[in-house]
Amino acid sequence: MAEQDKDVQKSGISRRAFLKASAAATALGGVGLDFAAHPSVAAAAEVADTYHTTCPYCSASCGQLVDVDASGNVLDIYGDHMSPFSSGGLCAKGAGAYQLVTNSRRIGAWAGAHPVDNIFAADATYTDGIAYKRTGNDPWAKIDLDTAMDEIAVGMLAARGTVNAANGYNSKSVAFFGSSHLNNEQNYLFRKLIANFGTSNTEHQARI
Amino acid sequence: MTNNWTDIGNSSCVLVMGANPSENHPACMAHINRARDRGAKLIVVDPRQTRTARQADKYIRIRPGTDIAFTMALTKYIIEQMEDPTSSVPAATKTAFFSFLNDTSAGTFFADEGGAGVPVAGVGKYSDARFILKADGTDYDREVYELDATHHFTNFPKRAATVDADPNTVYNRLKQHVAPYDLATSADICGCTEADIIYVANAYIANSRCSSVGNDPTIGPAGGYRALTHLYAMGLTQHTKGAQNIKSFAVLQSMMGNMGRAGGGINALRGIHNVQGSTDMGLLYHLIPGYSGNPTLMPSGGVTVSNDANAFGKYMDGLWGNPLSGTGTRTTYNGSYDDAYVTGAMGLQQRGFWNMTQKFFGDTSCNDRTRMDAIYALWPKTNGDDHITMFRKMIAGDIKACMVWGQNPAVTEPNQGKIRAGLKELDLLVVADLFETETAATDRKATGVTYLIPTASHVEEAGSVTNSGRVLQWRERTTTPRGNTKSDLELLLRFAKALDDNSGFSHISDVWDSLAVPLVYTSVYDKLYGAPYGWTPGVDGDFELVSGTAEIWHGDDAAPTTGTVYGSEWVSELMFREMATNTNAGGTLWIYTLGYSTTRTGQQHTGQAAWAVDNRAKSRINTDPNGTFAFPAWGYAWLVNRRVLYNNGDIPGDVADYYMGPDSVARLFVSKQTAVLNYSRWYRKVHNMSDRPDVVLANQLTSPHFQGGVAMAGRFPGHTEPYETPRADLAATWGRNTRGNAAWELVKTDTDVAGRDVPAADYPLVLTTIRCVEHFQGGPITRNNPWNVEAEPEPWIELNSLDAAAMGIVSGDLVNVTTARGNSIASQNAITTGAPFAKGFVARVGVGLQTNQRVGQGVVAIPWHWGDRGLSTGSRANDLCIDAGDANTTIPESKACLCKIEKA
Repeated sequence: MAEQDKDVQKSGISRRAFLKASAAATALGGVGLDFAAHPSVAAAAEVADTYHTTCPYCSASCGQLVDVDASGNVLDIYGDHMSPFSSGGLCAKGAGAYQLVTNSRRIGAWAGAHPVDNIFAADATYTDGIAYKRTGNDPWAKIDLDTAMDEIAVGMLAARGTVNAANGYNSKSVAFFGSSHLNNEQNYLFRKLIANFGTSNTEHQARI
Repeated sequence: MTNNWTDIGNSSCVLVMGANPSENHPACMAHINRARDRGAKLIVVDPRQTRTARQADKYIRIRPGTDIAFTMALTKYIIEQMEDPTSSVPAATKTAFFSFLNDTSAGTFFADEGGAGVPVAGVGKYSDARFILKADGTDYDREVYELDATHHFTNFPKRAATVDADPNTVYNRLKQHVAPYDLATSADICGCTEADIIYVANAYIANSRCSSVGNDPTIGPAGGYRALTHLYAMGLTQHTKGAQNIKSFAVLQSMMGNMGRAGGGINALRGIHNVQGSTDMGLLYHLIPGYSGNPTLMPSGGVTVSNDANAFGKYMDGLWGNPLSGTGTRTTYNGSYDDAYVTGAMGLQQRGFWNMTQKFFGDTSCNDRTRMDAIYALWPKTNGDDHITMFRKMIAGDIKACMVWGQNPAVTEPNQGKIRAGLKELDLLVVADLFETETAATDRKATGVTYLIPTASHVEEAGSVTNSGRVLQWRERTTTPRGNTKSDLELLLRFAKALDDNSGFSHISDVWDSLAVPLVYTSVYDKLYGAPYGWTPGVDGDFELVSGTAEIWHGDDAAPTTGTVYGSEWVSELMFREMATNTNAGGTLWIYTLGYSTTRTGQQHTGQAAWAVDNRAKSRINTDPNGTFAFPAWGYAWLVNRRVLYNNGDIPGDVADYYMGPDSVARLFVSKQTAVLNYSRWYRKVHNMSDRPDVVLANQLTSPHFQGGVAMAGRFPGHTEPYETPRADLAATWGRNTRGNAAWELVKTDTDVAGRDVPAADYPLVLTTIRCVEHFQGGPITRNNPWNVEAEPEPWIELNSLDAAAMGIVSGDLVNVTTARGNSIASQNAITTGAPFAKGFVARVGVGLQTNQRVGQGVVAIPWHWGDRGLSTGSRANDLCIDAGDANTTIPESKACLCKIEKA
């Protein structure tokens, strides 16, 4: 809201990097430059390795460094000081990427109680992957990933029908929505698969 | 972007229209501030006083959907100032302005005979301003031009000696076109003052090539370097004339000589981290990877599609690069197109398509016409349906199954009633995501089956991403996918395997089997996926353990190493090599060519050391040898590592490029003549913009689009009103945009439109959508994060204090916003599972203080990040927005529709 937004000091918010970033913006004159550099907050003794990636939000492509422990758990995600695009800075979204990656609400990622629905807790009995299935508006049920892939393939092919020279190998009774959240290789593979499947009915976020 | 993020630091004036980098691209503000530290100005023209505007040297408020009226008024005023001997513009500036447009230095052109571009003296290398148009405005007036015995140019545009030596020069026709956009008229359309337009026009003159000390940006604004850059985002594209909005920048920047210059150009601030890459990959209904269109003709056998024995050759002729110019010459212009199958004669895009066809459809050794025609036939022919149409077809039962991978259309698509009604009717809906999104949880018919597949996060999967400035960077796999989740690559490969196991690719193997020398294969999966990408489900064990040897530039290490990499690090590496290898050596994605090269030299800027890696997306050398903010060895920019496109050799150190045009000049004019295609070489292609205002369609000769009896709107940008507008008077004069077929054709007949289906007077306010720094797009990846939610817990409504006072609304009041779309009035419980919102968009109002009026009178702004799933839930803006799509792109008009407000 205009008179109650970040231009004016928010009280009671002081946690961690991106919240500091908001406060820093206020200190800079209330101009909304929520962009600041921070070192890792991971305990050095726990950090087994540091990797690099790029931020998963906008297309400014800020560099991110990722500290992980010996078990592969992500300890912190912070700005990559080497990147000429960001010089180590991250905004309120990018600085919160740690919480995206380690989010307890992610589906199938973590064992134990799940804050949305316990069906989405990781289940060690599904050793080769999991999916969730519902019919109509029934509750979700767990399903083995291979079984799900088989059922999905059958369903997609049933909807597709026959593709052949007569119809130009193109069925328009199916749709694929791809994603700007995927890397180039994933998109390339997806687009190849769609062409092999036999349709040109594909769209993604670039259209909106 | 024609330029790139870091290059913004070279600018002397940053003009932001329809973008809010402070919140939506905060890193961009650092580049803008680098320029401002050197003396640059920041100007923001926007309906909303954004947080970017709050920092600007100048903020100008305009009414939503009036950008072209503003930019054409700038064009008219600048031309007048340059021509008026009594104006205050310095004489030297005027001289520089016209000498640029009248440039007679040798331009590089490509002759009919093919080969490298040849210099043609006297034509000019920068601009088409003194080219002559036909009287009817459809195309350039052309002639046969013979440079010498081996260089003929059929259809070469005729040129006048100077821009004012002929009444039909592009310059004079543009001048005629902008005549109606006088200060008073445009100020009335835009709701700004005449002084506002004059301010920006003067800034334009003072910060363009005509006012600059040379073309070396390193002297900075303090040393007299001048360049203006245009920054834009969805605020300019989400209109029924979005493409024309951007074209208006192209006209201005080409006229002012700011294209191809450091700190200049036209720069889209793209929304998602890999939206450039996903667009490059052609996940769009009209494209395949590399901006090639869908093939349309079958070589034979088509019943519902057309046949042509020369289908492949004709398709190749439509790609950038024809007549074939790889090594030089299209050998024969014979009617059988035999030369279209000669790899050595192909241009870049053609060779990439040839390679991609082989890799996508399995016959990697085909080298003759018969075999290539056979696998070319397998490309799905003709375009698919656009996103707006797709959901209507779901409602009708014509689309029965839909796979949604990493997207949330149940929040992001406009006129949500139709979207969720479409999703409901699907027999099969598959969603792959990190969270249970609104799309996964959407209301479904009783027999509809929904699958939700958990995916890995961005740190759990390796690969390259392409940023808004076309720079490819590598992402490491920092850890394996957590819990039961799998990488997208593994999931897609397993889906491909499941399709093959269910005979889903039998149409492909049927073709292989029918070849005179049948292709040898064990399975379609193995041929197309298992063998090239190194992993077959059920055979090769755990995807995350497949391995190979690759370069590793790890963490923030100073130098790369080589070693064994696993899982997505290896599979992505294999795919990257397939795409980014030199097209002449089999690379499939021509725009990424030489992104992978075992030759460590080439594609370097002046002073750039040899590459340290073959996979140049992995390159992490962050030095800037020419001091031009190019950072040429950080990642790899397409094309061939140009950090500024069309730079004409003007920028120190960068790889010289040519302007795009007929053939190598910047075009103020957009020709629709397909004949130009036959004479476009290399990566050039004719623009074909569809726009025709409905008043032009109705031949309303009194409309301002007709100048000299000819309407140039579509070739030159012309103002049209939004589909829903509070200014019926202006809609009657200037019209609404169409594709040239019928009035209102950009919106479906089943969409309720204020002004067409219900009285516009019922909805007196203009609604526009906005974003905030704490949340992202359709919301799943921020609305589930406690920190982001704490900082911005719920949606809000921005309202001008005068409107608020008139309605008795104060800050903090809960109000409903409604539009003509039926779904915003009807019970949403019928549409969305468990939706808590009964009517419209319900949120609390923020009324600006006197000093902080976020929106102008008559305008309402709402964020569109929210839905009914996640840690933070709230009303969906897209329940309200209109699904009228841009005439060229079908991007919806999210930035301007009509609404009303009432207290909840």
